[in-house]
Amino acid sequence: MLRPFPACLLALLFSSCFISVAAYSQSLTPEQAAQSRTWLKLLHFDKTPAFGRPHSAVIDPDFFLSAHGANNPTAELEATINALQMPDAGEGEHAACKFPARAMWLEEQGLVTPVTAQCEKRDEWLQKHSKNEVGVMFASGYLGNPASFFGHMLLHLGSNTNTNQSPIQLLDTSLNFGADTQGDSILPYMWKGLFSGYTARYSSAPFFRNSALYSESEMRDLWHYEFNLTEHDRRFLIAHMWEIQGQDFDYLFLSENCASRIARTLELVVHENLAHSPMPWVAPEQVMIQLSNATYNGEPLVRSRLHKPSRRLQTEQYYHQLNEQQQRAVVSLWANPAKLEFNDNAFRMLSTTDRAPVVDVILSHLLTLEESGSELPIAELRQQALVQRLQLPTGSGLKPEPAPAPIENASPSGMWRATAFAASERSNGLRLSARPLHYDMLQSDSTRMPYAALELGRVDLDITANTVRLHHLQLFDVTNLHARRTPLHEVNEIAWQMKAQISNRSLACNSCLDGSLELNAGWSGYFNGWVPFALTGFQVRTTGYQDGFLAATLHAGFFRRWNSEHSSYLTVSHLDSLQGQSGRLSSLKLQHRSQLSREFDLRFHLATDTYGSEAGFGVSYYW
Amino acid sequence: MFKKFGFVAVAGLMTLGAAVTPTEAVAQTKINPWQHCGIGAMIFTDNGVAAAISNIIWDLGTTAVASATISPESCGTTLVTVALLIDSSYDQLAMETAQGSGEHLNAALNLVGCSATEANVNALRADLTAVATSANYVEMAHEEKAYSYYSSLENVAASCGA
Repeated sequence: MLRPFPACLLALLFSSCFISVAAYSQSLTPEQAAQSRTWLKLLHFDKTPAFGRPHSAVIDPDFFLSAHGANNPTAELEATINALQMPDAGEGEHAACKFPARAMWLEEQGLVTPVTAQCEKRDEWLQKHSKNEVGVMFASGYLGNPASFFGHMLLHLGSNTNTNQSPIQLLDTSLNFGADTQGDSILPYMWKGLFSGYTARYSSAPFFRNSALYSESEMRDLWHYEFNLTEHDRRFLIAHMWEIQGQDFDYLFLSENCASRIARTLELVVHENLAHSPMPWVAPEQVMIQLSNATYNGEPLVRSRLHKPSRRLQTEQYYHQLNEQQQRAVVSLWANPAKLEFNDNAFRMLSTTDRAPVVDVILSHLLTLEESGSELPIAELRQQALVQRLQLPTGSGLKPEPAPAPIENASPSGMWRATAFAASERSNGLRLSARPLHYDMLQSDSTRMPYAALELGRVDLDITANTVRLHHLQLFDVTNLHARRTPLHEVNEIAWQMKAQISNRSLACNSCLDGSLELNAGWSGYFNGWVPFALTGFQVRTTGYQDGFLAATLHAGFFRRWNSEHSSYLTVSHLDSLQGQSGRLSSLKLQHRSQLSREFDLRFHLATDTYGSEAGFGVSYYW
Repeated sequence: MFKKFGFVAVAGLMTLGAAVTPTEAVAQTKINPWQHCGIGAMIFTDNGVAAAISNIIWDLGTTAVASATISPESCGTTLVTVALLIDSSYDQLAMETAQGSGEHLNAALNLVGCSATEANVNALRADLTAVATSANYVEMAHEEKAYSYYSSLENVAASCGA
């Protein structure tokens, strides 16, 4: 039960909003106010279709006080002014209860003096968040779900991380902008998501709910960016969040999604185009970068960044903080995946204090295993570990490690590349490559996802003395090596790859294109920074220049990140459709990346297959 | 997986309360949020299809408006919040209680108006030891474990402000 909020305190809360009225007052006429940026942002009047009139992105009629409000900001302004001056019936339905930010702004403009209304729910919201700072939470990309490849964003209301020495972030509030998909199955879901048919709305929830989902279940890192807003704008924005909760908005997965709507919402107080995109989509990562680069009152908009590692990453970090004896004890006492042997000598030889971190690593890893669908007897293992841990002293000394580079430091998704190549069986030439999204294996790191690739739409054109030909079109390549960085049991985390492409049959020809769709799964490991892998699967393909529409595939190799600038990737492959030589191909490709800056890198590759060879040196620009 | 779906459903129905005083928390004893506040029904509805869809589309962000409701008369916001925290994070809470510190533990204690003092943590550890060493711990339903932790927290809340 919430405590009653004293009327005088509420008055103070609102009056503090208006202390700076003089500073913000624009003395606008109603006509000017109706066309002002702030009013249009309050109405989310940001839909400008190629055909038809601009209109609000909100499609919920309850959001408008005028019947024409969704299309006519002047009519909505007049209706709002009238409604704010109407007597209050005391039922919490007064315009001042529903639209506190509109009321604030119109009063600041001298256009209205709202009546005093009884607004219990509004006051509850404003009271609860009266001290909160505004920020966003970014969940890193998740390869387990195509809709999550590019991350997710949430608005975040929480304690000031600069002044509060030990904020309890889990009790903060998240505002999630999400589509109500009405339980649709996958096909209508994709169709409606891409082409219309869904509405989305903001909903409020405690942050621990999102932490449970993203950090603990989907094993995604979270980043909290807190904004450096003035007191006025902070309160104004929080009041606006009350207005838009539960309102239905237009929704499109690519362009009218969580990232674009959150960006548009923040534009109420941040005078930049935060949802700007040169492409027909707005990705969360893109908006996070734009927020990072945005200025506000001459200062960086983002005041602080906090990294919340996923459960899996925490476990890995904790394991590597154990000393050699402790690591040996973990492996020894858990030699049988289905049982923990706490009587094991390697464990018993440790001091009581040194045993605690060992059990902590196991407990943490059991959380990861449970969420990964492990078939181990997790409940029994957890009971064993829990009982053991309760017998040991509290505290373990395990600590989160320094955060990886934030997303704004990663190379952008878009890529241009020029590669000079020499071929054994073809003319030498220049290869021009372009890719709208997102990153390849050589770019993978902890900022996005280590040991993974997510490339969409990469085009390689070969230019020789006489011709320009398509060499390769990578429709998509999603690879997750799921490299295990600890010897802890991970039964269901397999390495996998899914890709579709149109490419030349071999390195010996330049006009022998065939299409293929390939699925592979297998094993990967981690040994002192080396990530070897072996994948097998099948390829469905066209047969213009090869025999057999179905071929078995085998890929093996390694990935190695030498340091923050250099990485290498070797793949040895064999494809066989069991149709003789014309259905078979063996190949080897070694690639190396040398990163020069966030926007530039150098690439070197050596490739050979059954029929020919190629070497190339290129420079890439990321945008 | 079903926990996730249920949690999504519940989230839309509640808001996070500010930290309460121990007195307020204690005043809400006698209520089992899992039985009396509709949480159990919502959390533990094991709708496999809906859960799968919910997980697939999460970043589209279904809000999955729940049909079930929470009675505001019997279930205060804070009580539901405490229950939801325990329900969503029981395993983390149990682990951190055994370890003696952690963000979930701090959050749970804060919600009931207490802090992670040695006395409070030791009281929770003692209760957890009794539960975890019981013969049927492995077979206990999730809501039983969660309610057990909730009860321990109530006991701590009753004395931590004294």
